[in-house]
Amino acid sequence: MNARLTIRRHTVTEVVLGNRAAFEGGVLHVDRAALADEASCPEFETVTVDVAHPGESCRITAVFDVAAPYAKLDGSGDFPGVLSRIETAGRGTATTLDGCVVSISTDFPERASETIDMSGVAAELGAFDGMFVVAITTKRSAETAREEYLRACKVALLRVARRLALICADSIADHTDVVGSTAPKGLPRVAAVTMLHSHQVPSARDEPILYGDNVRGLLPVLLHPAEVIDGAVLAGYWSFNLETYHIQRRSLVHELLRRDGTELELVGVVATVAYDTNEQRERSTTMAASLLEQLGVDGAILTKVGGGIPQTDLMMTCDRAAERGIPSVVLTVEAIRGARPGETLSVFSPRADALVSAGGHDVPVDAPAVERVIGPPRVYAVAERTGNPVGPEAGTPATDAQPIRISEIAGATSQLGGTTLRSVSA
Amino acid sequence: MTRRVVHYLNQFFGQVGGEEFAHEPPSVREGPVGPGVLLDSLLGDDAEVFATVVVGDNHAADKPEETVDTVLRLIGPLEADLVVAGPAFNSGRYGVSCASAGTAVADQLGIPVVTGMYDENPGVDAASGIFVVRTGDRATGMRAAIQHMASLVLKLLAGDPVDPAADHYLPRGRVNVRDRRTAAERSVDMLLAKMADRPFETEIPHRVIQPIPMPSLLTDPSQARIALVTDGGIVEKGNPRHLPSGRSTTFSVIDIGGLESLTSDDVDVVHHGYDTTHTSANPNRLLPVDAARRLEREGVIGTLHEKAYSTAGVSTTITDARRIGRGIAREFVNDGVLAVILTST
Repeated sequence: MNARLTIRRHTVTEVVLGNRAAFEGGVLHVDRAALADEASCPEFETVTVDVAHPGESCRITAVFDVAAPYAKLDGSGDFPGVLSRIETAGRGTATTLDGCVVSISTDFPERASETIDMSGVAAELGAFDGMFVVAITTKRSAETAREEYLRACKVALLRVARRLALICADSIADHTDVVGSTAPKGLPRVAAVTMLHSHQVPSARDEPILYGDNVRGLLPVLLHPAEVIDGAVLAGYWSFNLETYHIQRRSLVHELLRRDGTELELVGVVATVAYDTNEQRERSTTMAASLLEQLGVDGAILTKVGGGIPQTDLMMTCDRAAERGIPSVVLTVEAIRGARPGETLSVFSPRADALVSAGGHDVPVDAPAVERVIGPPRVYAVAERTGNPVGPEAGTPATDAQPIRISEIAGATSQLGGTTLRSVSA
Repeated sequence: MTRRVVHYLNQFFGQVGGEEFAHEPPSVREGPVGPGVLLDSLLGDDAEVFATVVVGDNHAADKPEETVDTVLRLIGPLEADLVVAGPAFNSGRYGVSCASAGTAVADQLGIPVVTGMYDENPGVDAASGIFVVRTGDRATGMRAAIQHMASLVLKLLAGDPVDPAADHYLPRGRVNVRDRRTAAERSVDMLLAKMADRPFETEIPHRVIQPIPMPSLLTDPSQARIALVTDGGIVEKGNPRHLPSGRSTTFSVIDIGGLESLTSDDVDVVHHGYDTTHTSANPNRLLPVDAARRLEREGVIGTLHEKAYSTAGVSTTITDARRIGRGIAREFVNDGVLAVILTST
C-alpha cells in the first residue's frame, strides 16, 4: 500500500474536567461546558459530560458507541459524509489520543447497548482497561424519533472525538504512524473482506456506516485500508461486539497494515454487508469473490458483524473464494452458550478449514458492585430486551453486583479481531 | 478416606444375562461386578466401587423417563462421590442409557459422572455435563478404556486439573481464555501458513451434523390432519408463557382453532435473530394460517390441526432443538397429526 495517511498520537496520562481546554505534559484539560455545547443539538433535552478514571469504582451504562479522539489537521474532512462533506478519506495528516476514549450513552434500552466498567473483572476484559473515558450522557428531547436520536448520538460522539483531538493539535506527537509502505514484490498478496453491517437488523434510513451511507443494498466495494481507519467507516447502531473505536484503532486491517511490506502485501479491503435473503447473499458473496480474483490475491481474511445469521454470508464467501482457488481464513465470535464443541457456529462449510475464534460472546461474567454510575442509573430489562435469562432484573440499580454478558461489555471481544479473547474446547 | 464410586452397567456387563434379560429394570447390588472388578482394583486405596446399578438396555430404551427416575432414586441414598457408567463402546442402546442416566445424576444429584464410549456412539449426543472418555468401538478395548476412566476418576476425586486431550475425554464445552495474540494476529498467522502450505490448526471445531432425511407422507394429504410449526418465535398475545426470544429450551402452543387467519391482535413475535417487523405486522407470513385454511376449504389438505407450535430457533443448542422437536412430535403422535408444515426464518 502506498503511504498516504500520517497519524500523530499523543499519550494522555491524566484527564482533568474543568473549564479550560489544554494539553500539558500528558494532562488533558477538558472544558466541560464547551464539550457539552459541542455535543448539543435539538434532538437532546440534556447533555452531560463526565470523566471516568481507570481503576475507579465506576460503571458507564447504556453505552451506544465508543470512539478514539480523532481529527484531521490539514483541512481534509473529518468523518466524511457525517461531519464533513464527502471526500476520499485516508489521506493527509490526523491527530489522535492514546489512553483516552469518548463514549456516548443513550437514555433508553438499545438492543446492542454496552457497559464500560472502570475496575474489576469486566474492566479487565474490556478494551478500555487503563484508559480514561470522557463519557457523554444524553437525554432525548420530546418529539424526537428514535432514529433521529440515534443519529444525533453518533454525530455528537464524533464531534466530541474531534474536539478532544484538536486540543493536542499544536503539541508534539509522542508517536507518528505512517499508514502503508511500498511493499516489495513477491510477498503474498492479501485482502481483508470486511463486513460492515448485517441486515438481519436493517440499518436505519440515516444510519451512517460508510461515508455516511446506510449501506442498504451495498454490493462489495474496494476500499483503501487507510480509508477504513480514517473515518470513512463507522460502527452501525446495532453493531454487536463492535465499537467505532475498534475500526479506528484495533482491527484486522491494522494488523494487516502492520505486516504490510514485510510478511505480506495488503492489496485492499473488500467491504461487504450481510443480507437476509439467499438471492442477495449469492449476489454479494459471488461479487466479493470475483473482486478478490480480479485483485489477484493469494489469500483473504473474512470478518463479520451482527449475530449468527451472517455466518452464512461468511461461509458462502469462503466457498466462492475457494472455487476460484483463493484460500481464506474466517474470523468469527462463537455463540450458543452451553453448546458442545463443534456446534458453536450457526452454519459451517467444509471448505472453512481455517477458523479463528474471537471468543464466546454470550458468556456472562460476574461484575462487582460499583460506587458511581454514569448513564441510566437502573439496569433496564436486558432479559425482556433479548429474551436472555441471564442478567439482573429490570430496575436493578446499576451500581449492584451483576452478571454482564461478554457481548455487553464494551470491547471485551471484537468481531474485527482486535481482542485476545478466544474459545477453546475443555 | 476411601471415596465411594457407584458403577452403572447394562444387563450383559452386569452379569445378569444376554439379550433375553435386556428388559431388566434397574437394580442395585453391593460391590463391583464384571468390568467393575478391574475398575475397583485400578482405583487402589483411594476409592472403591462399593455398589453397582444394573439396567437392562431395552428397559432404558423403551422407558427412558421411568428408568432415569428409578436410577436417581436408587443412587440418591448411596452417598456416592462419583458415578462411573459403562464403558459402552459402540453399543447404541447402552451408550444412550449411560448418557441419559449419567446426565440426570450429574444434573439432579450434583454428582460427577464419568462414562466411556466410542466417538460415534449416539450416547455422545445424549450426554451433557458429564465426562465421556473416548474408547474403541468394541469391548476388546475394555482394559484400556477402564484404565483411562479410572485415571480420570482419581483425578476428579482428588480435585486435580483435567484436560480433554491428556485425559482422553471428549471436550464437554467451549470456554473463553485470553490468548497472547489478538484474533487478528492469529488470523494473519493462519493465512500465511495456509497460503504457504504449512500446517495450521483451526480454532473452531465443527462436527458434521448428519442430515435428517425428509420423511415421506404417511397418507394422502387430503385425508390427513396437518399441523403448522414454526421456529420463527410466534407466541400468544403478550407472551403469557414467557417463551424466550432465543436460546430456546421449550416450545409454545398457539390455539388457531376457528381462526381464518392470524392478526397482530392474536399473536406476538419474539425472536432476537431476525427483523420481526413484517411477521409481527402480518403473522400469516410466518405461520400461514390463511393459506392453510384455503387449502383446507379446497380439500387439498384434510384438517388443519387446531394447535400450532412455535419456538424461537436462534442460539438454540442442537441438543435442545432435538428435545423440543421430540416433545412436539410426541404431541402429534397423540393427536393423530400425520404431516407438518414447518416454516423457518
